[in-house]
Amino acid sequence: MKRRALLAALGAAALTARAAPAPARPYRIYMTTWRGITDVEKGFQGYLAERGVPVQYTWRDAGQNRAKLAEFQREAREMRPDLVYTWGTSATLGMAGTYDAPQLAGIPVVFALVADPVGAKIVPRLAGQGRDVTGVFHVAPVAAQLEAIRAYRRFTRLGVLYNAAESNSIAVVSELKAGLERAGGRLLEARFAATPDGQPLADGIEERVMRLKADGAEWLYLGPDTFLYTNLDKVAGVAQRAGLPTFATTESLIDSPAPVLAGLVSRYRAVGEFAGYKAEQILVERHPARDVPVETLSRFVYIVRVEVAKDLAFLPPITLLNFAEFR
Amino acid sequence: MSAHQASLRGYRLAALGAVILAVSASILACAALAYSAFERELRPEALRKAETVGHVVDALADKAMRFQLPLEKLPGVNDLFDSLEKQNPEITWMAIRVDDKPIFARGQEAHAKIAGGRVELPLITMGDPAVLEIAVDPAWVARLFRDMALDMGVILLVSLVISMELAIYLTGAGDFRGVAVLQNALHAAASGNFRGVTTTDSARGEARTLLAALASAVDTLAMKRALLAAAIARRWPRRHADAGERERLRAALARLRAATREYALPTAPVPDVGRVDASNVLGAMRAPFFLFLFSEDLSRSFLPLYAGSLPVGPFAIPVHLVVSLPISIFMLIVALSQPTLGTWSERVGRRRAFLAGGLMGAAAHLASAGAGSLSELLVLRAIAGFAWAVAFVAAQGFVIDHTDRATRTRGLATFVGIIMAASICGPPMGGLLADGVGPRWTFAIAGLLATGATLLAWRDLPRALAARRAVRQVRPRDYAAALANPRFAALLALAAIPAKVIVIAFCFYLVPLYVAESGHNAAMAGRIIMLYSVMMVLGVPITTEVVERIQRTRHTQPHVAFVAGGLVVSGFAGLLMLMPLGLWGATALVFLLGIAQAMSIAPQSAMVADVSAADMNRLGESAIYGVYRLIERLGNAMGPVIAAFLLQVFGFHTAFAAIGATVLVCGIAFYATFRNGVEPAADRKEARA
Repeated sequence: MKRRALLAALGAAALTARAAPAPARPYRIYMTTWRGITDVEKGFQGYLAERGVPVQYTWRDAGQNRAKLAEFQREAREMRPDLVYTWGTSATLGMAGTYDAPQLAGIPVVFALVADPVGAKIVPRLAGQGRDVTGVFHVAPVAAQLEAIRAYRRFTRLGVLYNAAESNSIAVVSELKAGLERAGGRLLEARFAATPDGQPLADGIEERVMRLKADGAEWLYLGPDTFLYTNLDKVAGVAQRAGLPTFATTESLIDSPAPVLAGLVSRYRAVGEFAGYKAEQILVERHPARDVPVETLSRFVYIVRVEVAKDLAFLPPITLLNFAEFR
Repeated sequence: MSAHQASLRGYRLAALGAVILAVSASILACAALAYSAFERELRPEALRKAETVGHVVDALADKAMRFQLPLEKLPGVNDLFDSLEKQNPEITWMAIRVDDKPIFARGQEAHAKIAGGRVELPLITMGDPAVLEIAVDPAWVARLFRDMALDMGVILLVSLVISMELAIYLTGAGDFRGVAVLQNALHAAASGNFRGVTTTDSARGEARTLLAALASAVDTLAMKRALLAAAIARRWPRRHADAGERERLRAALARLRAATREYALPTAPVPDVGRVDASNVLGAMRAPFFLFLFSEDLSRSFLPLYAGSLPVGPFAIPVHLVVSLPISIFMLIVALSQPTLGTWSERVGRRRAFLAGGLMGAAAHLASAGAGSLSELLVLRAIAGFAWAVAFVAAQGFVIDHTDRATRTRGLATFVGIIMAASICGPPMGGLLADGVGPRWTFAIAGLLATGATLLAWRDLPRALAARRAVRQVRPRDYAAALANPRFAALLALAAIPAKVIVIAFCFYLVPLYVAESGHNAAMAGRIIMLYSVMMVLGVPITTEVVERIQRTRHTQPHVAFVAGGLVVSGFAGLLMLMPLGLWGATALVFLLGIAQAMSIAPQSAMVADVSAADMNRLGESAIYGVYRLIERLGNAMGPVIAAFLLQVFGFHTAFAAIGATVLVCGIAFYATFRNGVEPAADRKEARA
């Protein structure tokens, strides 16, 4: 329903720009990103600009440093903005906390690009979440992802390399395991090396990927894992050399120059626009954030990178040409 | 029968034969004309369709070319051909040739060699020029006709059963009954039994007028005889002196005596005898009950597929298991609710109980038509199962209320007959409807039929009935007591449960899915499942007859052999699926399963009384049979779940074979356990179907 409303709103916005009544002063949005500005923010800001919502942004980037988030949280509490925007699971948890240890009381939070907001304990459920935190998650349901991989080539063993310190990764891995077992498949897990206090390390990526391959993994699953993203060149490169096809779950993974084969992803811009719509609901329409449900997009894009497929000598089936985007 | 009557009958038969011959000949001629017209018109249509399909492939090849993907190295081309051939049944050959050598090919190559049955399209590829070749089945029209003929055959059989039901309904309550009563009366009178002439209120119209005339004639006759007798009695004592008079009187008396011996005249004005007919024992319950069962049986052939098409929701269990749940839940609810429903329906009255079941069933079917998710369907099927149990128990109670010791067996046989009739008609009709209008509309139709059953019951069922105190409620401690008998437990574990598991697992779950998997429609599934009920209907009376004859002539109890034989045949039926027979395998399987169950079902039921003869006096026959039925029905509920698990893990062939092998082993073990006799009861109970 909301999504249809979004489409209608986008259409209406095209016809009657500046539809929203101008408030006395611009809304103040405190934006927290984890690894710089992405298309999500462009979509978010673009949507609000198009709708004529006057906004004054304060942007802070954590540069993948958790310590900085505590600083930002303190700043936000002092500033008391009209809305806090967060990018990704880490930034969202750093700012808003979990639902059993909530932070930033009294300031509505809209998140974008959280893979699994329930699994990461940001909200206890997607609707009627009981706290003033809402947002958009971007990862296609695991069942749809597995179906998409199968559409490329049937498999029984799926390899995954993930950062055990990221709660979204843990959530995705356990879902994958359940989904595969249901279909009679198996998940082969490998974790990034970590310091004694749990910080992930880029050491030993090559041997981990090679071991997955040696254990019989037919695909390498690239989850919505930030640490994985920052080491993607290495991970995807090793996989490519080992002849292990890779499957991405987010747009940034498949869009990177690293040789990733295929993916079922949400467009970041669309995710940002949807988050912008939720911000508008809260700021302009005055809906309490707790009444705005956490949602995902209903359409995902299947992307296949032809050059990677050729290098791997792992060509897509002809039927995929019907519905996937080849590039 | 007089010679005149015989010749009239012969003449009528000949006339009927001639009419049937003429009608069949003209229908056949029409079919032949239609066939050639179809051949003429449909062949170009099929070729055009082949060309359209060709363009789909061409577009994909073109796209591959744009991304510099070599067509000959792309996987999935043969899969694409397979799926296109499945979607377009007239296409039976697809191939891509380079330099006249096929690089991809699917289907029957022979069809490509038939002149005028093939289209070719050049494909642009990265390498050498390729040609796409698509051929249509030369026997496609014949196949269409064969499918239609099968459908017609099913409709014929179903309409035969339904028209029989209709005729019984009408003779039970309408004008035919009058004619039947008249016929009875005339037959009786013709054979000299004037007491058989009746004037019941059930005759109407002309039949009633005729009956009344006949009855008054009989009454007059009786009166005249009485007068005559009185006159003779009056005159007899005077002892006529006239020898001639005396002689005449003696002769008249002799004739009167002879007539009394030859003709049975009523002693009082013609009594209201009514008509005794086994098919009428169920009376007003028959039509509503049949309609209600029919409405439920409609969904048999497509329920697993329909369940599989719904969004699964929050179930973290394998898909095949999920699909089996609606059937299992239905069976489980039926099994668990029946024991307690008996006394309830006795208390509220059969009429109200049946109406409640009918309404509930109708609502469940209608709601199933709009089910949005599997969990919704599960709840609705559970309600339908409960409704089925309520209606079933009410109808069964109705039979028990309306029969006495002499007519009960007959009444229950009729009751079972109705169940079988519905199970013959329901699945194939449901399959046909599902293919035509879709499963949702078929459920809607089932809902309307159940509503019709409820309305009929509301109109026809007698309002107040002094329910007879029939059976004692089965108590939990009865279960323990009955099952403590190892022979009874062995009968359940080795025969009753395996027999039910294999029937429900195969007929209700695996066969519909298997038929769909091999590319056929729900109508085909329905036709195949129907075969089971047909074999049962034909087979059960034969088995009963044979068992009784063996008992009479050889003075042995063949029950054990029949039950074990049935199990072994069922088991072989399952093992048959290991052979690559495709749909024929499934057909043979259902056919054999029907024969096997027909062999074992009645002897098995009779054995219950024998093996628990010792407990019978203590617990009562109804309690023992209550336990037997409940546990047997739990087997019904287990069937689909077991099948689903095996299907999920091992696939179709192993699932069929594993269940078959287990039942086979059970059959052998059963024979080994009981081959030295069953400790026959003092008074042997009759075989119960």
